[in-house]
Amino acid sequence: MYGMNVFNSAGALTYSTSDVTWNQVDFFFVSGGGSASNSYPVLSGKEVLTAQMFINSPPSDRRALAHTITVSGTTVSVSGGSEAVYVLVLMR
Amino acid sequence: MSSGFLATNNSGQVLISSDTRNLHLIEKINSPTYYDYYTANYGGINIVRYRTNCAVTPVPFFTMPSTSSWYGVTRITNVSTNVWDIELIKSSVNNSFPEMYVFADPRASTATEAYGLKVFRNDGTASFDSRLRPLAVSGGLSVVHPNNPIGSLPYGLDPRYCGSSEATSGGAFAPDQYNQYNTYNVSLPVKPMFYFPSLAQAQRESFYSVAENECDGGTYKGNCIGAERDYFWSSTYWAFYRGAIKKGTNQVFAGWTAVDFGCNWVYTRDSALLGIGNGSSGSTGGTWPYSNETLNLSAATVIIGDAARYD
Repeated sequence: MYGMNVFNSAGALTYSTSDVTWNQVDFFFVSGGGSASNSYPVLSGKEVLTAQMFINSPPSDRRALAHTITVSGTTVSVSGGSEAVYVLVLMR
Repeated sequence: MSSGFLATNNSGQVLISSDTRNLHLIEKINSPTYYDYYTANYGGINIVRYRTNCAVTPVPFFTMPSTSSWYGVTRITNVSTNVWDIELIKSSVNNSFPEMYVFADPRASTATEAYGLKVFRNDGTASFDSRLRPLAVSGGLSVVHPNNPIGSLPYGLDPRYCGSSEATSGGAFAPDQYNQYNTYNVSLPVKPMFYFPSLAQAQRESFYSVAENECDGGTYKGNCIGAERDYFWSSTYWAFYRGAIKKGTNQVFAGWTAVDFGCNWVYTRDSALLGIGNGSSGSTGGTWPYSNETLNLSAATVIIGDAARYD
């Protein structure tokens, strides 16, 4: 009963508080062999989702390890991979 | 948050926050920009790229036009300023390719419409803009790919000079293993779109060999009396796979798609006279597989949205 609807000029509903989404907190680069540890206070008490995407195609002539991503409290840590990746941090 | 804007849904989940950025539709790409590789063998290998212009890192969602094909986004590469290539793999031989819906935070797009709701962060950049078609999701799940792409190693391939045809070896190495995830609690919309970055990799190889002996003279107690030659041939066929997903009616499957393949062969010839070695020769060719293993099998993120909402 309560909530908010947002319409466009044609009267079509574009967004509503009955929707569900994931909001982007950060999208950052981690090099192959590199690491990162970032703190996001906004993650406190929220549901967190992370994902990583390779930047280059893994070669078939050597091991191509993805990074390990851990979320501890409001800190997102990335390490252990041999490949460059983009890390996406989402919350809701 | 002591100031700013926050909207939550009935579950208490954040919908709009001036502390974060919502994802918004930047572009819908109807078909691949580049077709990089195709073969009908190995279960069908299609490697394509979708090119998009985006001022920040894009978040790609793709549709699955066929329930018999496997799909995955294998990389995102910034090829020049604000230009990105999104690489997608697809199995099978049909030529229907996904539509790609590119989302990004609102800094990557400019609205032309005058009406709507816009939320700013404390640095003055946009957090949410209803005019830019903000992302809503239908659900999400975490999937794990099976350790082995193929149920059993192939047999009957030619050990001499990698002599089996691509069709024969490709049939033997076609991936057939998957894990099934029911989506009864993640209802698939009529036209679902998926965010799925492929990380899992596997390589499988199979070794075949054969030996022959030629003796120019007679034999005594199994030994050659005279000149003899021992021939040995071996071939190692291999295929390289990436993790992929496939949709069902109310399921998502986590399986594999081949992306590369090859074969390495070795030939040796040893000569002897009266049992005494007097020379050897050999050669090798083809491409050598790196490692017969599976990597990056940790749980992979799948986010599902309703593509029809953005058509």
